Amino acid sequence: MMKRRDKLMVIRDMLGIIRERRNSILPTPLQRASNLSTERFNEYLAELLAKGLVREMVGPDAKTFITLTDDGFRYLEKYQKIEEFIEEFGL
Amino acid sequence: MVPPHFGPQPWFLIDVIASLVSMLACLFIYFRTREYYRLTKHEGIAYFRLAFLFFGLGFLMPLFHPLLRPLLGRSAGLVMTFVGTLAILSLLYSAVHKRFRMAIHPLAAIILVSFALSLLPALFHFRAEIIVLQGVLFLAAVLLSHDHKKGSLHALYALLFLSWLANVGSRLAMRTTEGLSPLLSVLSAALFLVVAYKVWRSTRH
Repeated sequence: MMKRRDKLMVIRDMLGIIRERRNSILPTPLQRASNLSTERFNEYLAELLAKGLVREMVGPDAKTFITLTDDGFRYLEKYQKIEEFIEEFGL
Repeated sequence: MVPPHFGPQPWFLIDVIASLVSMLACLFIYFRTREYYRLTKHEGIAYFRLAFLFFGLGFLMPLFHPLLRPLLGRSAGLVMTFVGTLAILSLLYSAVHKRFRMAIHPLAAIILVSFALSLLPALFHFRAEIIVLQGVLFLAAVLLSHDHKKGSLHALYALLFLSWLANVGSRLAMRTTEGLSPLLSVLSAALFLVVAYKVWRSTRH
């Protein structure tokens, strides 16, 4: 059975997918690649926007793309250390 | 004949320096974990940081006791009990937040409970009982933090508990055995430095 991803891991996965797609992805392919239901994806996307880890950009064809902010890149860079910190201090 | 000594006693200076070191260790932990909180808004990290902010304030306040006493009168003790309880409850919540859902905002609950507990000594002269209660809450944080997979956290919280005990012991000894007070303050500062070192090691780039 697959282990349930915790919140920090889901966020890491979503940000990682955006980075892999040259920092620009439409919401629907992001949802599919994140392996989340529509409801959970919308919750996570709203959270990522609120935390300032991603931003929405409107392209020339009026489509809304999602891109990483500087904090989004920093999160990916620091994720391993943050996970270790949370585990070490049992938070 | 030995001339009378009017300057500050050496044990008092050791006490002050040890309190400053403890306070700086707490503030170091608070600021060192700022980025991790900013990026994740993780509840456990939030209350872990708050606990050390309040511990730091708790070490700072006795240093200003001569200034606070005329300003606040008997409430100075109340404020110190309040800050100490805030720190312990924040630490306790950082250890249990995953298994525990609150009907009201956790920080509001922590403030309310701390305020109620800090009023008890003022209203009913329950000074010793409050220290025992704080000890029990701290011990609860130590026991609830016990993780079978990893022993380091348990050891860390146990260290903090020992440090708190040393600090309380130091304050009580100040009234009874003057020589014991600086020794316990130094022990408390050393234990906080160990925790700060652990945080530094976990957050270094």
